[in-house]
Amino acid sequence: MSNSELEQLQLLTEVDELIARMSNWADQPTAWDPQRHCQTLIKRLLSRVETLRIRLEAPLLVATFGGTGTGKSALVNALVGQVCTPSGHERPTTTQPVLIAHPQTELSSLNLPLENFHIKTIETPILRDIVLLDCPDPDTSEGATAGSNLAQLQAVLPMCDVLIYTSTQQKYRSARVVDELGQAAAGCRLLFVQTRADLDTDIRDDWKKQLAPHYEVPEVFFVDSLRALSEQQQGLRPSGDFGRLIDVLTTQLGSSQRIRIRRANLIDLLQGAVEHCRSTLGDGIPAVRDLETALESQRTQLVERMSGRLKDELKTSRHLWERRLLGAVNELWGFSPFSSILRLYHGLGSLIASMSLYRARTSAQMALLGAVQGVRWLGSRIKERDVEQQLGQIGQVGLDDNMLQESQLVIEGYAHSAHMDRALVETDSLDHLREQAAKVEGQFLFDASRKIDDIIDDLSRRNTGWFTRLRYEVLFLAFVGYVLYRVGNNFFVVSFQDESKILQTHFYVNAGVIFVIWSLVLIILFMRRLRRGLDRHIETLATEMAVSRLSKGLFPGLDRACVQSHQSLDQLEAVSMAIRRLRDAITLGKSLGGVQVEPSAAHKPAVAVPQGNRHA
Amino acid sequence: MSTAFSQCAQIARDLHESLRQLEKSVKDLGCAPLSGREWYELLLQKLLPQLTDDAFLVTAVVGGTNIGKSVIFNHLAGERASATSPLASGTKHPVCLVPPGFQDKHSLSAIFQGFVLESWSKSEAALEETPQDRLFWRTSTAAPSNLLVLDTPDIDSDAPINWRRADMIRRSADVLIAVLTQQKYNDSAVKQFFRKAADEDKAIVIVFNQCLLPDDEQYWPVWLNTFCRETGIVPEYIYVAPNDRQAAEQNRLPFYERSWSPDDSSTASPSSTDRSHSLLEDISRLHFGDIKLRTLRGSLRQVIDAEQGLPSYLQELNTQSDEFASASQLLTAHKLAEIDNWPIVPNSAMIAEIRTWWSEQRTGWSAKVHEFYNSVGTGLAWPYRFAREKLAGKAAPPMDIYRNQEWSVILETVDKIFKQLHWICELGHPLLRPRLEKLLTGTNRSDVVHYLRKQHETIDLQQELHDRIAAELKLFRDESPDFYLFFKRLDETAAVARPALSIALFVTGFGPAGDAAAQFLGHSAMQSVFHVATDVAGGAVTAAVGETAISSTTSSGFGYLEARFRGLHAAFAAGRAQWLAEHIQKCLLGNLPEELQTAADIPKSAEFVRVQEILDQLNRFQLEYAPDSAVTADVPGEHNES
Repeated sequence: MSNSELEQLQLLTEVDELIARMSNWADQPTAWDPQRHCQTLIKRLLSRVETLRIRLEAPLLVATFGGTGTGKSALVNALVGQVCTPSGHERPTTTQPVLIAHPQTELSSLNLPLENFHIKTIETPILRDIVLLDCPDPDTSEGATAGSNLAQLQAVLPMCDVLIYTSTQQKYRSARVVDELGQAAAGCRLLFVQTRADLDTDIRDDWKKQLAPHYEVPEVFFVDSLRALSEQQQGLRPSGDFGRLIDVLTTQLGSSQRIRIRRANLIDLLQGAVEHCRSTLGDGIPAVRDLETALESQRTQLVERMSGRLKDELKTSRHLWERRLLGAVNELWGFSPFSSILRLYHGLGSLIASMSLYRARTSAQMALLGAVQGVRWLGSRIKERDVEQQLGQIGQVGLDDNMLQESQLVIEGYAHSAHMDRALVETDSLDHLREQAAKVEGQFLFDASRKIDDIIDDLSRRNTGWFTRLRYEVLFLAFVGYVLYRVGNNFFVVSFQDESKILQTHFYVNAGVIFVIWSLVLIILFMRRLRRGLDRHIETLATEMAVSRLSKGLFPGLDRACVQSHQSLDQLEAVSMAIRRLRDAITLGKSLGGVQVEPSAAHKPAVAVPQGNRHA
Repeated sequence: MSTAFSQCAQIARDLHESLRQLEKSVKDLGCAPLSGREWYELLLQKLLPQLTDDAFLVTAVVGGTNIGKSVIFNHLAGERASATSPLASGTKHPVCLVPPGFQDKHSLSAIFQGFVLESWSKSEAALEETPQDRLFWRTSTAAPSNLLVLDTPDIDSDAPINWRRADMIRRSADVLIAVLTQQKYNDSAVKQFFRKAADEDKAIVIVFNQCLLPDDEQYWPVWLNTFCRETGIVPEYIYVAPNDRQAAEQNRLPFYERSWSPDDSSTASPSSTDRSHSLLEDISRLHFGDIKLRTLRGSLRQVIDAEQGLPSYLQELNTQSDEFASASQLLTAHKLAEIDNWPIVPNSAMIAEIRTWWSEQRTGWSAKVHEFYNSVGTGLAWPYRFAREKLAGKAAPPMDIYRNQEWSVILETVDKIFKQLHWICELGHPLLRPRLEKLLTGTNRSDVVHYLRKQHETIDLQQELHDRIAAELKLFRDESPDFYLFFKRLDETAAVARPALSIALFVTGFGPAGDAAAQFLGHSAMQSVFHVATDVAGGAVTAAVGETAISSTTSSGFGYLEARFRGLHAAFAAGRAQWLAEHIQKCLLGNLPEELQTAADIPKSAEFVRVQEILDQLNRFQLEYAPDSAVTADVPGEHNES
């Protein structure tokens, strides 16, 4: 296999891949209306592309295009060297397309509605690789009524591969023709010809200037068809621009170029559609961004509310704080006399705690109880809620029904403006929203309880330094030591001297009572110490939580849809890049022009939209 | 005849004035503006300036781009008054030859309305591209004293501004010199342009330019036939000019006159008179008065033409305002929201309020005694209340709970209204849709919610309740013998069923829900756009209260009082719903319903009727002075032979 063949195959593969990519894109499920619209468009285009691919190997269909009287038929006659399509002085002359082909050309392979054409077969070298089609004009009909020249032309043009656009000094700026070309030129190669060189002035420069904004115009031929015909008939090779035009038709449209030209046409079609879709989606994106902003601000509002409520509740739940703090301190302190007392105190508390777990009335208290227990509890709570639809509970961190209703109301408006699928918001009925709110709340509380754990850890660590421990141990032991000293001294020393002085029960009772009081005083002092800075910690916690980001809001479906719409646009941009790269890779004969699809024109229609018929 | 002229001129001025008034009042209808409508432009550019006794003719050279209009114009002028160029779409602005002394009698700016007049300085000025519509004039002795000759931009190039300027000149013109070529005589843009000229009854002079003589001698009758058949034109003169660039440049192009009759296309009269004619001379021989009358009449016919003229505009307004009427109907035919769970004021609050009112009614000794007991009671109850607050937390005041419940219902109602509006919007009414889309955006929704919340938070519900109860009880006291029993039984009243309310939109007065609502709402409320209907007498309420409660007592006894008490609740709820309805209307719909209604009433407006009257006048005038009636050529500005 030769290198050029390999290259050719490579090109074909890339085009196939591109088409596969586009059809993939068109099949993505989406909730965004503009995207759905574009997907339908691309699907339609791809189905048309399929029929184009069938003709890949057939000869190129080269059609004339131009205003009436610009010498389309004369040009065709001159090209084939004999009068085969009438060329005349009455307007319009040609009222039915005339197809001129080589006798050996298999016309059926062109996939054309042959019954609509006059068909002529002529044996001439120029027709070996192409089929010529002499078209009716676009500018005598005032509307595309059935059977009119315009209607016939519009039916034929999409099937053509190359257009020879003829014009004259009088007609090169005729609005009707220019408009029609804008429609016809998509997906075609163009050859530009100024006819009537015998009579008219050369206006090619001005014409090029007029065409430049929308078309690539590599060259404009200035021909005299009548002279060329007579030269041909005399067996001469036509001179001047006409000769070059024939060269271009035979070399640049030869069989080796067919696939390239058709690919290029196909890619132009794809590019036109993709640019259109890009601009459609691009127009829709701002509304999606608005929706995203609204969703985001909703989330912020949610977090602010929840953290505010959390702060209030944490501040009022002193007992729970104490218990958690004591528990943590006990673990850090290790075994010592004072810690035994603390442990005893905590143990008593836990006795109640086992019940108070069920008594934790609010979610914040629950968060305090600890992440692990809490989440389990919350899970069962949510389940319970689902079953009983007892949803007043979510009000506890600020997500009440009113707020949910309000957010739904507002988000629905944004989603509507962004053309999101209505189902996305509507299924989010209030019940559904409540469930979602419960999930959001659960997630929030889970984060919160982690932070609370950190606070407790920090506070307890800070208050179990060796110096603190020593101080409390010494203070505690001072009393115990004093009592022991008194008892020992009494027992071993005093009572030996005077048995009656042995300590009585009331001493032990007193000592016991004072011991309890002393322990309590120390515990209270210690607790105060523990709680010092707690408020500040809660404040920080609340602020931290307030700026934290919820990974999921109340409308996860919409969140997803927004992300998807951005992605789909990005994918389309990528496809558009690929198309442009591919288009540049296909090298064509240098005389062939075409429609310009400017990358800068991403948000404008690729071709100037014709301004209808002014007199209509 | 001159009286007919001045009469017609007066009507035209009236018409113009009243049309301007009408346009101002219909700007909300969304119809295309008057300017740009062919008949209106004709009124403006032809009838208003030219309905004068002093007849002059406006002659314009018109045709497609790059077929030698300016060349022919220069031949008329006898000099290079307009620049020519081999490139298409060259002439951007009209150039006008004005006979000396013409401007003493006429104002050019009145004749060529819409153009900025500039005195001619050089021929290239007309090629300059400016957004402003300019008209270059120069004094020329070439033409007779009552003839204006113009060169115009093209009618078919890709510069639509050229077409517009050519159209403006066409409307003013009386004689059009139609330049045609082999390539362009059958172009759609050309045919459309000249069809209009034919409709306006312009005198047409056809010049086939750039002919390949003598070959084309056999073709031009065919071309002409097609052209006249397609456009309906009957030319005054026909000329053939050869394709001779050099002669054209040197202003010595020959124009050969040809005669032709539409019936028989073969009568080309070849070469018999191959004497070059002067176009200007031939034109000067036309009957100016006849042509003037003819073109004015033609334009007038276009103005009052049923299909394309003023009647079609009026018809369009009618249709459009019908659309508005149907939009208005669509919006009002649907109940915006039905609320069946309007919260009820807690009984405790209601009863407390009733007691307050009652104590205010007591006077003299009895009041003092009750005051004393009340103070004692409050004193005794204080420790209990204090203890309860400590234990169970401070109970929220009942009206705060109510306020909160009410807010949920308000939100729900607003949600329903939005859903309903969305549904109406989806029906796709072309007028309602864009308006409703604007209401349904997220920003607007959150604005509405914020507005309502602010209103709702600032309203004093306690005061509302107080006022409502005072009003209702006063009524009750005046009519009921069992008044005192009511207070005795007050505490026994059971739970009260919620009244069912619906908010509907009525633009015009009473509607189907009116009867039920009438007992609670004053007359003024009925006028309002929003409408609240309350239904408390329905079976649902009875069921909720309990059949037994009513049947087990005598009709004047507990059941009656119970109903009375419910009545209080319902009245309060209805009052609140009315409040809501008013605010929703204010912040959500604004004056949309009135706007729709006003637009729907346009055909009844004075401006509309006035235009209609003038149209009738014009129609009568047209009949009276129809071409076949006695009026003919005795117009000033005689038969003109120079």
